[in-house]
Amino acid sequence: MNYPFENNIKKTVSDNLNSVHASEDLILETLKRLQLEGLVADDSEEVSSSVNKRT
Amino acid sequence: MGKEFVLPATEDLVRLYADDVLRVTSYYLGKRCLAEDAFQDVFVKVLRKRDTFAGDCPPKFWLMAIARNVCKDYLKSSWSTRTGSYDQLTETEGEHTENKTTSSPNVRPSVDGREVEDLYFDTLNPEGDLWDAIQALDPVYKDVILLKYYCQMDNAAVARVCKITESSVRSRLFRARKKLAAFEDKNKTAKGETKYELSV
Repeated sequence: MNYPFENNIKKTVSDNLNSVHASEDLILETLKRLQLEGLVADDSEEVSSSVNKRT
Repeated sequence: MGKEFVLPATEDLVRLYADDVLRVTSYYLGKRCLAEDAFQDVFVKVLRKRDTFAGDCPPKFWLMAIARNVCKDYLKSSWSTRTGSYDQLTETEGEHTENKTTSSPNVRPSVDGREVEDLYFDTLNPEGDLWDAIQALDPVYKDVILLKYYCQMDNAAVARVCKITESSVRSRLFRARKKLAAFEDKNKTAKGETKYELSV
């Protein structure tokens, strides 16, 4: 069943959440933490490369 | 039966789902610093649990479920207890909350004037809007709104993530829409516009 303002809810939620983007700094910090915690064993070279590019 | 979905390698995983995870953590936690801390914790948890991914749902759904659980843990912390959110979170699966007194939908409980700049969604305004009302919903209703309208899951998928029945999903969606419709009607009445009719 369609509710009269279901589209309003969908649009409001999407518009607000879609305005949030993870910054490159946050991504790199996260990759670095994952590396420090030993959670990137299988592809550590790939992650090391990204993290090292920044530092 | 083999795995239908597989998780990408670590960096691809983080980059591919970074926005989605941050959106979920900011949706539940609001504050930028908390949302970003939770963001990192989500990926730590995801990688620790990597071997448990059954491959029977898209990775995004699995990450969303973990992100939601991480946020719940944050909301259980002393920080949230001080702001009163956890009382709402711990209600028994939310089915008895119809008569519960809730705060005004245009007031977000954890917000004060000094903290506004640290929020991801700087939408506070004197009149309030639908987003403010969504943000002020009880967490059990925020869950279904997020999963249904942002993640675009069907009721069965929402039920799996929330570990409730599909009937409970329908019930929560109905109640959430009813609360939001009441808020919208109040706004429309104030503006002299037509009210929404909510049918079952």
